[in-house]
Amino acid sequence: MDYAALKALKPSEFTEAADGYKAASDMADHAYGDTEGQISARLREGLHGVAVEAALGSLRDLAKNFHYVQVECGLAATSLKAFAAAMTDAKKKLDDALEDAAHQKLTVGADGSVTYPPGGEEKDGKLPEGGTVTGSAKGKPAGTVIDPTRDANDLSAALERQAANIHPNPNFGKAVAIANRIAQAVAEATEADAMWAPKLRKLKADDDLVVSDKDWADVQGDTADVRAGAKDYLEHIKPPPKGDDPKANADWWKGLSPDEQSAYLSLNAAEVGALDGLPSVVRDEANRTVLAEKTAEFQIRYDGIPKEPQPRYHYVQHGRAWTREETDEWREWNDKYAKDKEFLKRNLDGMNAIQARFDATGKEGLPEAYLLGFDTKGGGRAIVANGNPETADHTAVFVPGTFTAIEKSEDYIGHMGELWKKTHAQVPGQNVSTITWIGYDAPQSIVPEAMTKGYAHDAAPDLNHFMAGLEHIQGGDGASHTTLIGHSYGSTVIGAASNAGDLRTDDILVAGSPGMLVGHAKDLDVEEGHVWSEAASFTKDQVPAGGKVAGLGGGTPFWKEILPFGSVWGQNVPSDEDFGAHIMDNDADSHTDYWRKDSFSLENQARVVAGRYDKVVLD
Amino acid sequence: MWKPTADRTNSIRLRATALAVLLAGSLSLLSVGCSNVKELSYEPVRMDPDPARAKTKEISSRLLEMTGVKGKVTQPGPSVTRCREYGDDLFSTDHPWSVYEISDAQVEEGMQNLRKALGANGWKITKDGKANSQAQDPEIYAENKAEQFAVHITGEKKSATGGSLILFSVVSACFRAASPSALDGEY
Repeated sequence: MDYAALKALKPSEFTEAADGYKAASDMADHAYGDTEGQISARLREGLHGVAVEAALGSLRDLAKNFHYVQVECGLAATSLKAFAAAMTDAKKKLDDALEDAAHQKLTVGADGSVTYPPGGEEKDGKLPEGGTVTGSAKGKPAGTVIDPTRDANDLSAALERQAANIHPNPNFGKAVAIANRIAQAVAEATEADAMWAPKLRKLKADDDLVVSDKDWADVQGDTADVRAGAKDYLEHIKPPPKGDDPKANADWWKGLSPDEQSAYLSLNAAEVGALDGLPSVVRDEANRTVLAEKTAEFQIRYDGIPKEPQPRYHYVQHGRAWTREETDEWREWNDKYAKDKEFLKRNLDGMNAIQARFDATGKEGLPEAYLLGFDTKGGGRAIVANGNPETADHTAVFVPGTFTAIEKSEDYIGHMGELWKKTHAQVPGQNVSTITWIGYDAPQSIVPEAMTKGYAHDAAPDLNHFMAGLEHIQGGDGASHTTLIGHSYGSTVIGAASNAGDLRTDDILVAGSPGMLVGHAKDLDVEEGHVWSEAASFTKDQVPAGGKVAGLGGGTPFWKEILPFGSVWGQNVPSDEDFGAHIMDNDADSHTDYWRKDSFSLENQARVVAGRYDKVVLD
Repeated sequence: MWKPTADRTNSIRLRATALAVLLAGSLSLLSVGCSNVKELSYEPVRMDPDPARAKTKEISSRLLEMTGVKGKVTQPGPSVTRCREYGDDLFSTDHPWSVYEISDAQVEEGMQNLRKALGANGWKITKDGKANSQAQDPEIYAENKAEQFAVHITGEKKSATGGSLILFSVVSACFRAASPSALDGEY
């Protein structure tokens, strides 16, 4: 970058290029959605056979390509915007300097040198001569306590002032100042250029058609690169508000320009994906990027773990006896890798199950899915919606129970897919959304973890915020009929959320509840008659009785001091008549082995979700 | 204020411990019960998920014909779910659908047609009565041993909460897939 290049530069060209990449990113996003939701679904509807399966496989690869293009073009657009912003700054400095030069009758040469005319007081009948100077940019201060660059800058500025003061031609000083400003502008442009050129070059993908795990892992590196580079540019974008108020989040997002929205999303996908109150499509886009990146990263890490040494055991002689012991090699491997391997495997199972749900959209009428939350920290988080909640007449949110973790995604997502179909069959023509909320660290054992209330109290605020965010995007309290469903310990979470304050739901439905931390249905944050409970008999399901002992119900505090885990016999759980919930029939009275317990209870749950209360089969 | 003597504290502690042990025992039984593989009363037929879905839809179509009522029919097809409690390579299908935009008279007529046709088409009615709901709608449970399917049919009359429809839940017995991983990602 030199003076001539900066003078000729039009930063708007980069902004336009950024817009081009943004358009390409948007196009790829649409194509990604269409490939998944429209084309594959249509293909499945009308055709069957090996060729269709092969075509669907290719379409999945194509969808992956579109997704990758969307994310990388989004990064390119943000990079170019940040680069253009830096260039616009430098160009403005240059233009200002040139304007001032013209005012002061100074001429700027093609190389950025400044020529000043003769001027000042005549000496010996002669006007002091004019001349030409070239400027120098200041060094970039390091900002440290002892900063040689700053000292040098100060020193050179002082020397220049002295030189100007003793120079007989006052134009000299003006020319030096202008020349320095020009040099400064060129230096800043050069710096931006040097920083962004390699970053932009790195964004270029390899030219094969396969989007590999490595490609996705690279996206994370690219994002970090661009984020570091675009620091100044991003400082102009307001960050999301502190706290978890969904309305404040929504207002913040609405307040950003489309450019700022896409820049913020492309560089902070995980943060945007977790913000309650933001539109479903926005959270979905952000979380899917995180899902793709994390899946790739975990797969690469998993593949990098060496094979478990075989055999695990060998026989060692101690005196006259032989004992079977683990080999040193195996033990070393176990200490170093076993835990990590297990962690990665669990998460990969969960992430692949989530991706498989997206791939299954359209199959047998399965509606489009939205990834409203995703994280691998703790036991892992995944919030998956069947059908867009924003347009839903009926919404169900399912909070699973003990042992909930991301690897259970297949079961829990499948569960809500079935509930969607069962609800749809009962209110045809109305929009339904069923959401799996794996949004908290659930107890991973029944004794002693599920015996404590801590998990429920930790999870409650997150559930409250999620429900409030849901209500906000749906358009307020009356916009959608909402049912909160809790399985086992999930119902305790709902109880804690209800106690914590304003729980935004119309119905509460619990199955196998060990207690909801309240003594009666009327203590829950829904209107009377809108608490529903499913429980099998004691011999089939000991959880409710166990919950009584563990003290997860509500009741008298006296015995808690004496019995283990603060337990109380005789406190109410939702399947008790005194609790006051509608007790729903939970078992098919069908005298056949074909009924799985779930299929019948889901049918009954769907009646509540559909708001067809008078059709709910009671115990 | 009541203060426990050492003896009494001990006895409470003992009782508490005993209860804890008892409870831990009964609850761990429960968790073992989850992972224990239960026995099916029949030998699962070997079938892949897609043919199982196709078969389920065929069964649903035949049930629709037996109903003999002209109305709209909901579109979504069957779901595939693992029969986890019996084995990781086992799955069943579940197809909920309904005939809607029909009158209460058509609901009655459809249920009546089904009562007659089910038996003649290889189905055994296991229950025919009224659902224990506020609406007391008629319901039929039936199973087809030869095809290994069961169905629950409810004749839902028009009410304040929605229109008339005949609701079907068609479920299959557990089938055996090629392997547990053959069921990965099947929804």
